[in-house]
Amino acid sequence: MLHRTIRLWLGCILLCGLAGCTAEIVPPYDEAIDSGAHALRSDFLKFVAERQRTANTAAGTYASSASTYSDLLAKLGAIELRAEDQPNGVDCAQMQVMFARVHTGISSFDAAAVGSAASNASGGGSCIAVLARIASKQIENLRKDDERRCASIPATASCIDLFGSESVASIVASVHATPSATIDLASAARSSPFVKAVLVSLDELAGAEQDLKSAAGK
Amino acid sequence: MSAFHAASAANTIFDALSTQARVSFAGVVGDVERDVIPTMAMLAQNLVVIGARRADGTYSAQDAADELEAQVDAAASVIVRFANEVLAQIQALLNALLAAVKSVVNAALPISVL
Repeated sequence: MLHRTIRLWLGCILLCGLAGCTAEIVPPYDEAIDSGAHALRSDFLKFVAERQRTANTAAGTYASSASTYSDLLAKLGAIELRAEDQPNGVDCAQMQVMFARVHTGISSFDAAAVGSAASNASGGGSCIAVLARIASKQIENLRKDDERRCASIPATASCIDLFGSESVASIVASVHATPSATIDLASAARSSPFVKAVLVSLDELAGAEQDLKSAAGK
Repeated sequence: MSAFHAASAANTIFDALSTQARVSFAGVVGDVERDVIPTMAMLAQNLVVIGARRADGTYSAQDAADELEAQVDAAASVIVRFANEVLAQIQALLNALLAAVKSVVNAALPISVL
């Protein structure tokens, strides 16, 4: 049975090779998605810096930021639509299920919850489309929390901690730094777990498009 | 018609495949070390911060639940990007195989047909 399957695959590869065809299991690199995702990441970081600067003032409430969320979500929606319009290749959900089952080595993470989050955001399509959906969900959830936690002044501790007071440069560095075994309590007190999580999702979207560019160039 | 040697053709295809596999999957392994593990560890540290803020009363149960969900979504993003990269490298490997088959066929024929 196995030999028959191998022969079938070899036959398919030979036929495809003879026909001069190429495999397309991921969408082609799209410069518009790449530049859009990088611009979005930059806009988000500017927004975080502005909210930190205006914390505990009228400009630092949700009401003053509602239009920024609309702008970020509209840009993400455009990326999502563009990603959905591309040839999808293999459905990314198939790969997510496999990787979600791989033990990450970090016991704090529930692999099932992570797999479920990926599957819920999937809705089929390429991994780029799935990443755009997850990033949209992250921004929308941040918006809802901002609306609930930062409705008025004086700001509550919960509102201040939503954006934290850690510098944007430090936030960016921490997302990709090799972590130490111990937590720096002083920087932890200033940090914003929500902002870092959203930044990770935006970084992964931009990085995934770069991965397609690199793989195509090899 | 030029002579067709099955062993030579198999070697050509195998060389192309092994070269591409080394290039493709060395990059994937490097990315796990450089990006996936540090990001997952940072998200795990975020969970500790959320837990501490919930414990000292800074965060309500709703705040903590929302921030926890954001960490899980971020972890899902890391996994989906990794899946995308593996798929892209598998595509590069398949195309290297198809190109090798094409070159072997062309070498075996008097004229280039592919």
